[in-house]
Amino acid sequence: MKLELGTFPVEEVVFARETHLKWPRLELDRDELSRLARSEPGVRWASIEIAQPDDPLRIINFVDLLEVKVKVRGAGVVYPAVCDRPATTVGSGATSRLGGVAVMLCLDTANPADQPRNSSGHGQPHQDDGESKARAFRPFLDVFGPGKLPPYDELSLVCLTLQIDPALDLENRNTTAYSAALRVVDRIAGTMTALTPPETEVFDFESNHHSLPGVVFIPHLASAEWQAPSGSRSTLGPAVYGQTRLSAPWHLYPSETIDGAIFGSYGNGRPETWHLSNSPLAMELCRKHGKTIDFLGFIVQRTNWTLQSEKELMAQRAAMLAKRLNASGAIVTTNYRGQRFLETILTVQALEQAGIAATLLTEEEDNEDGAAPPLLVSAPEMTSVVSSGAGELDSSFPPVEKVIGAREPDRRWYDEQPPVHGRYGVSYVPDYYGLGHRSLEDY
Amino acid sequence: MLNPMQQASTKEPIRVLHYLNQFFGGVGGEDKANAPAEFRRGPVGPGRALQNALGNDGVVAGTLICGDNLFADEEDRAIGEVSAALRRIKPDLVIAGPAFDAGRYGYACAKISELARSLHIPTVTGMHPDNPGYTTFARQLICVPTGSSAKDVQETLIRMVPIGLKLARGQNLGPAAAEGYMPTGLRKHVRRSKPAWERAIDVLEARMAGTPWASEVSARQYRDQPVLPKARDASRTRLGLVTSGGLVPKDNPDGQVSGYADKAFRYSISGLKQLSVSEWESVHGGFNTVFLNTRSPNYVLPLPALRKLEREGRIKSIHPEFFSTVGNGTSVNSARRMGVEIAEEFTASGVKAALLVAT
Repeated sequence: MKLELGTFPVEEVVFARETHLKWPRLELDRDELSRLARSEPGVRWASIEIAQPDDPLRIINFVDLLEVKVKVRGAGVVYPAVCDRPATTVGSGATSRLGGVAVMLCLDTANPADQPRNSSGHGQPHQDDGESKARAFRPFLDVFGPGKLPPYDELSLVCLTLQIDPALDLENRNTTAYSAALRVVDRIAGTMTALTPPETEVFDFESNHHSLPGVVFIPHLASAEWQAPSGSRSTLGPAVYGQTRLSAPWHLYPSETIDGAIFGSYGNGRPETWHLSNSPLAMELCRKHGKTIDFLGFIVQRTNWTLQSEKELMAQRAAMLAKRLNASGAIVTTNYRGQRFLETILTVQALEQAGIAATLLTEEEDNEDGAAPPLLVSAPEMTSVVSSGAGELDSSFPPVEKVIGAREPDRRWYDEQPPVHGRYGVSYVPDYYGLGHRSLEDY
Repeated sequence: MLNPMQQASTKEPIRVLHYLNQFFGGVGGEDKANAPAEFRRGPVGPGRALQNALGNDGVVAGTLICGDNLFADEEDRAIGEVSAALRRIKPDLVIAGPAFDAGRYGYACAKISELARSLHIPTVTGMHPDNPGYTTFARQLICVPTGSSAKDVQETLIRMVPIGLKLARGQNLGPAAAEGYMPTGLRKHVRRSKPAWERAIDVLEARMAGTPWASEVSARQYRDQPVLPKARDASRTRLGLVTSGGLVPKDNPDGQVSGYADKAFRYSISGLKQLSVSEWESVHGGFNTVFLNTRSPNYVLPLPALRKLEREGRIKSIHPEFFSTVGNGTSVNSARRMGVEIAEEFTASGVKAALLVAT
């Protein structure tokens, strides 16, 4: 596969009378985009806001982040096989993208009790006592002050907030929201089609570089199959070509992922589409391909298998696939705690036992002042682990004048928010893909 | 920047107490392992190397020598004797060992560190990473790593002294790797200069090139809990039941949470043969509860099977109350506390064995 990736680095995003790319300025017709989102059946209300780095505002109810991109030459469409889009294999031809801009999808459920039980949201921003604070935590994002963290420190966010027909079930609400978001993404991306991108990179995965050390990237993506009402047909959580089901490891060309072959998120406060279609880690491996490494692609490992034997089987299959691809090194990530992490470690073990150096990039658990180990599971094979912190942010978050992500945000969201300890899954801007500088160190 | 008090203290030599076992203290070998605590003025044996390492920054005010068996066999006596010596000598710093891979010596160094810490006297020790003195007491120790060989004593003391001087002067220690001590188990938040994704690529490339790399997280396990011997005779044993499956009476009267639980609630199962969906439900947020809540809550508390065993006389009885919590995102400290509380209640009720249904 060979992909030409054109980039329009946007320096300014403004509302205007027309949606138009006057590079380096992106102009958006706010009413047109809102109408477009509302035209998706099931959408009751929609709004478009712009959040630029350093704007004193807070975003709540955010569920995913989408890069604005469009296929301008070659087969398929970006973000394939989701929301009734064609499932044609992507990753070849030419794709154009907006740099420095992304669409943030926010879902205003209006009634907190309407959220699924397994959502991390439980109603109000914060209660007063310690443990209940953890339980009541609802994710938020400040794009200014201490809360301004990668990737949001360099992205102008086009925030699409939706209210969806509450009569729809969870699956249909999810599909409706993403379909509306893709309408907006496609409309903005359409502004690039007639233009020549100022920056172009060519990622050529057709020629062999077997003399260089082979590397694979193995993200572990939780499947909602076990839990979702639609089971294996569920649309919840990250999908590979629309498939969220538990399945044997997928091998993807890196260029397929750049075109958005991995799409979707696991929900409130855990965007992943942008992270997996524009991962700095994967992009750097792409850029090193043919120069210092032979980047053999993604091996997407689904997690949430039931039996230990199933977990071990899948770890073995991923290692075998990596070996067959001629990998001598792997970077391994995970996107959820608990048994998903256990499965990730099984993959690390299987890779090392197959003679493949496996570097694990992960967040840590709460250390509880030394009472608890940093990771849920440790194995002797885990000799190279890179820590992206525990989702902590020690500073409090200043009050804001504007809150995005709800039609009528709870007044308390405008107040100063306390520091986030990062304990046990209650984290500020989870960093499963190592975008930030947060980490922990032994004392 | 040091505060004025600390700056003043840096000008005065630190008074150091050196702890040695009978072998390094020149008392004798294994035949003297029962030697009582003995204080000598000034440095003894490796203490001379310690004095050299201290230079003008400190003075070895004295040496405390104990037989290896003292802490192992007569801990109370050892603590009493060492505690009295520490109160009398009032050192600014205790240097214990190094103990290398000697288990009893390491244990003694760890206990002395603990004792000195309780008296607000900083202590530095040195051990092999596998010494039980370190592996058992790491959280309480500032311990530099050593090899197995006592011939490295001078080199080890040279590494121990700067750490000890910092502590004695009231300065905070930096990260373990930077300062040269072994991890205590405590991890602190840091901001690294490169983003994690870039460091991951660096580490992987170093590994593949065979050049040095360092892991940012070292393997550390949860604390082992020794397994008790099997109940001798189940037919004479009262069984307690615990579940982390989020099982609560219908409508959750106590408001148990679906995750991050810090409470276990007790509910009566007196006279019940089984649990029904009309009266019980699971509020667990970490697994699919549809089966439990529509078919059978007994999946997380197998009451019918246990009642059968009770009827057959294979267990004496089932404690009339079970404990229920939610094992989803619960902190280790909370889990440990709940476990202790449940165990205390069971013990007080004559429960000799418990079944924990983990989810």
